[in-house]
Amino acid sequence: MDAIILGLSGGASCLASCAPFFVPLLAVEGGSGRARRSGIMGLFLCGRLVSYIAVGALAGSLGALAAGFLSPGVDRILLRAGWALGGLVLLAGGLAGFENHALCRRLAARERPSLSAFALGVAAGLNVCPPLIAAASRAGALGVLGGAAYFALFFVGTSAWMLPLSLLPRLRAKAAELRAVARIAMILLGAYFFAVLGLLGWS
Amino acid sequence: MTDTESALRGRSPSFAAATAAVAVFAYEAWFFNAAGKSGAALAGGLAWAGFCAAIFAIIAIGGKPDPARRVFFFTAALAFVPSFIAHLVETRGRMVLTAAEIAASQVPFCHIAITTSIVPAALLHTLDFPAQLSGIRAAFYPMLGYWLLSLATIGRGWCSWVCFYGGLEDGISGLPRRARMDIGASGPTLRRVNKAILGFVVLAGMATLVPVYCDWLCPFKLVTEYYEPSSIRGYLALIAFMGIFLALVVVLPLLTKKRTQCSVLCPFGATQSLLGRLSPFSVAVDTDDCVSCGACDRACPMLAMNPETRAKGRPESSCVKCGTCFGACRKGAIGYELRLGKRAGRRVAPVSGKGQAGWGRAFLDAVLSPALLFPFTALSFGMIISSGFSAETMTRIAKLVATGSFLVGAGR
Amino acid sequence: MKAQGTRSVIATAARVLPLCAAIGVPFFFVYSTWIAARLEKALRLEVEPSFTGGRLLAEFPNPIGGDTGQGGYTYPLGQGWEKGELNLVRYAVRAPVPRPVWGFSGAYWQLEASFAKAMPTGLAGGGFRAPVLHVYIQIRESGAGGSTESAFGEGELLRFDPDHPWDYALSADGWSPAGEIRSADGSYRAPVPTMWDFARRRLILRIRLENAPRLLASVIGGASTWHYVLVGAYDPAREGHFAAVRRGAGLHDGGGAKDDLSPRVFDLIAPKGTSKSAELSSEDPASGNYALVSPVMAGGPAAAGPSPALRGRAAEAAAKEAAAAEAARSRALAALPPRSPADSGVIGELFELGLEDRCLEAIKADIAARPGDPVALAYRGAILAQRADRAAGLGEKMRLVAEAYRDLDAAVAGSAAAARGGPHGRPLLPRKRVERRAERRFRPGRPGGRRFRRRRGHGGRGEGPGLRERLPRPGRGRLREGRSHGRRGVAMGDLGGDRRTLRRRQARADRQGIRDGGLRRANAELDASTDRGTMVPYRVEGGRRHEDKG
Repeated sequence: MDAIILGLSGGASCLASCAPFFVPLLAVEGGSGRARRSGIMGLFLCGRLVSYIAVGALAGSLGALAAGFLSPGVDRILLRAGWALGGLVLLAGGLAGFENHALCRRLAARERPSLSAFALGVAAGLNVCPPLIAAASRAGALGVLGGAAYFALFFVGTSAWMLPLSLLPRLRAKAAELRAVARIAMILLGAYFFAVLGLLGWS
Repeated sequence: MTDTESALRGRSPSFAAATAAVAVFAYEAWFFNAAGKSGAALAGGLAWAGFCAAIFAIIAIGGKPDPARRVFFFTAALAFVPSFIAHLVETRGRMVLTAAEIAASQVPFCHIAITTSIVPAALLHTLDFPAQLSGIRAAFYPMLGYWLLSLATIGRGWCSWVCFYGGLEDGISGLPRRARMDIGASGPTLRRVNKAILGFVVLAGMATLVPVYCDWLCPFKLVTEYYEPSSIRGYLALIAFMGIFLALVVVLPLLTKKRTQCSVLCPFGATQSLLGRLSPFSVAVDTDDCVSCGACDRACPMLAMNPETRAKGRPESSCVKCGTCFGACRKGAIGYELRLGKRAGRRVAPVSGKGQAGWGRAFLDAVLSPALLFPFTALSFGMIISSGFSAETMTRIAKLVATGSFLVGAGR
Repeated sequence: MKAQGTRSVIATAARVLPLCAAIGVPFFFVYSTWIAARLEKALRLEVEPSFTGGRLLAEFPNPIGGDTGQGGYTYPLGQGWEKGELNLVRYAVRAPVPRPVWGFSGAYWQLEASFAKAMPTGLAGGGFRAPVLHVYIQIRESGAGGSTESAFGEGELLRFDPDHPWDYALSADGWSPAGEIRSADGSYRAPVPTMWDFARRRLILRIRLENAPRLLASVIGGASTWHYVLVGAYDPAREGHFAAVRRGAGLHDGGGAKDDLSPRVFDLIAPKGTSKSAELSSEDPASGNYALVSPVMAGGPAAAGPSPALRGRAAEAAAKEAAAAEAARSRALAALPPRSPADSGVIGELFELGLEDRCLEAIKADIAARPGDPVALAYRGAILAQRADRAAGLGEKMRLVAEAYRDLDAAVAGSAAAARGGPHGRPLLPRKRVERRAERRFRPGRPGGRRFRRRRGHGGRGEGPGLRERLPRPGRGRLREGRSHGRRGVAMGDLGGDRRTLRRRQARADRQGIRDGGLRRANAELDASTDRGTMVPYRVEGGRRHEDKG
């Protein structure tokens, strides 16, 4: 039970740290119907759930070494992996928008928004924020399954903060412009996340 | 009556209005620059106040912002740099930032950083910039206040009347006689890039709680302060901002006569574009008079004019209300306008005499016309913001000439 | 018609808004400071702790003027020392920053020491002087490991509390750009970047946690730490850099030492309840022992809460401690000579040992044997008072306090009677003292104060009989049962009561600084009225006055 409360206590920082993965996706789909956007959101949340469960299991298995989780070690690796993955997906999504170049056209052909949403969800879940560290330290004592379950409940708590994003209205008028801007932003974000934060680890 | 007389009489309400406005402005300039000062500071203050009042007189009576505005803007920007750097050297002993200033939250807050910090501040109640929150002008709350004021009054006019970074670029882009490269065709893409950079800066700032723009992209660190490069990352950042400065602030403006940094990179400008709709003023094209010669397209330093906008009668949102296009238009079809209501009192050109009756009314109309009100508002804003450093720079220059030292007070 | 109206409104707005903008700009700047202050009050932001060194975990203020070491230390005569430069006024421990930003690479833990006076010295200012700061840190939860001697040979001429042997010693001076941290066993040494914030006169130290030993890095998980913080004058010639302090001050040495073993410490952070000068004067020249100092505890859980591993250890340690205490108690009890519980001496010892239940049993037995025994009653009252302190709700507290009062009053009455012809002396818990403490504890502004006052009937709307009403005062001042005459005053507001009561209440309220509008109004009306009331008979029943209508 206190897992959910911990998740809720994460507050807007959950929104803040997951937003960069989700907002560009939403912006690209800004003109589509509500069903499609809810679908994308659902996939994103699934991705986050998957990665949270994985992190929970990991924390549980580390167990007594949970202190090692907190020190510059495991959480750094997870964070950088999250950035790198998220960056790649965003980059791919952004480049797919430009059909002028051959490479971009190939990417566009393979683009599957559902997969991107899921992958971004996974990446967002790996984004280690203070509530996650707290949850990890608590799950450390619970063993693998216990840790996974703890994180699943933690996910429920944090997702409550994501729901406002789904209430954004549909933009019909400027959809094309927004999409173009979003694609460029995705390229920039993707490059920054992948290269600077993920590979090089400079924050 | 002779033609001259009738012309003069016709001009009277707007001339009188302009004179009245100049008088008010001159008082304001004295109040903010010179009141309460003495000695060298007073002299510097009076000099700057006089300069600003003269600029306003030229704009009000002449009826066109350019080129007087550009002179003011460039001068203010040039006056900012030595004052700021001198302050840093006096208080810190050097220009570079070190961990000590950051730990002590003593970094001056720049208006561009508002874009990275406003969303995390709203969500998380923390400011992701190690600035003083209040107490000095370059603290967070005062800057926030200035920004909110600008949204309500001049919108993106900040970029052409207030921002001392834009002033550098405006001046540099105005230096060459003609452009050697034409980037007008990529206008739409560049505007999209501008908005995308805003999105990037805001989202990356939310994710990492670090001002990403200030870390990697801001070219003006070269003329203000930058973090001490002591590692590869530091040196990379140094190369990045020096390169961006040279490319976007010096070289490209000289080649294209456009303000490339302001129109492509600056996220604050993008914010002002998006939120500038709150301002009561705007620039408008009189579609009846417009002959689609395209002179304004070429003249606009922000790539805000193109055939679509001419047809629509309003420039793009990236318009900074600088008034360069007013001078370029041979038909005088472009001017300031009130956003609400019809085009009222757009023109500042001499109004043909309506006779004795309605003189007072015409005077009031002229005073309240956007053509006069907007430059008054915008130049007041710019003059007050620059009053801190410009007058001081003049004093310092005088000191340099007199004693050979630019610094006031003990250095370290 | 409506369209016309709207259009004219828009037209007017179109004229007025720009004018407002034009006038608003200069006026805004005239009042910009006020506006910024309002914004600050409304928004209340703080700078992200990753920039400023982490969230503040613990802060230890220190008195100004405390840089006198044992009590009479004077600064060295050379280098232009100014009084206050060795006066530590604040020591702060921040939460470790696992992911720093803006250039400081690697996780770190920030400690800060603020001085009464600090200025840049050396090439710029006059003289080469700086404070030197030694921080000895204990991180282990249990007392195993660590050292109780100085890390720097003679160093500061101090010993450390054997209950808190230090694990890491940090030395930094206001002169070098980096200090040093070393472990107690000598296996780890690393530089500690230091920087001055002269605006706030603080010295900032950042202990690097990357590549640090496990124990040091565990502070990220929120381990509690104990700190010894010592300040001396910087002398590069001495081991540990603490300048010597002799009887008379020298060019490089401080003065005012009492003997040869006086510590070289001008200022330190002492835990609550200890005196700095007493600690620093605790050396023993005869046996050659240095003075003994005690640490302060910083932190406890970081933002994340203690890790279960650490929490488990803490719980283990706590359980061990409890078991040890219980064992000690039972040993003490077993050591008591066998006496009948009726002997009040046992009650006292059980009370001292904290065995409340056993004590109450003994008291019951005692009262059964000797009803009205004042000592037993007093102890019972004391136990009830302690329970009231621990009780959860205010109502429960009040109930227990009322019971305690009953017992204590009975004890006082009993001992007063006995004093006239008995062996028992003055009660140790006079009612007046307890009342005063209660009043002070529940004064206005303290939590629970208002409710307490209402219950006592101080100018409240009366939520029923207050405490005073429940406890009839013995002795003088009690309303004598029976009949008398008194004045019925004009009913005042909704307070009722007669003139004398109102006056007395007002006087009491004034004494205690309570502002009660209703009471004031009633008294004001009273002052304004000329009605002296009528004489009516009344009788006293059950401790209260009733009008005798019959």
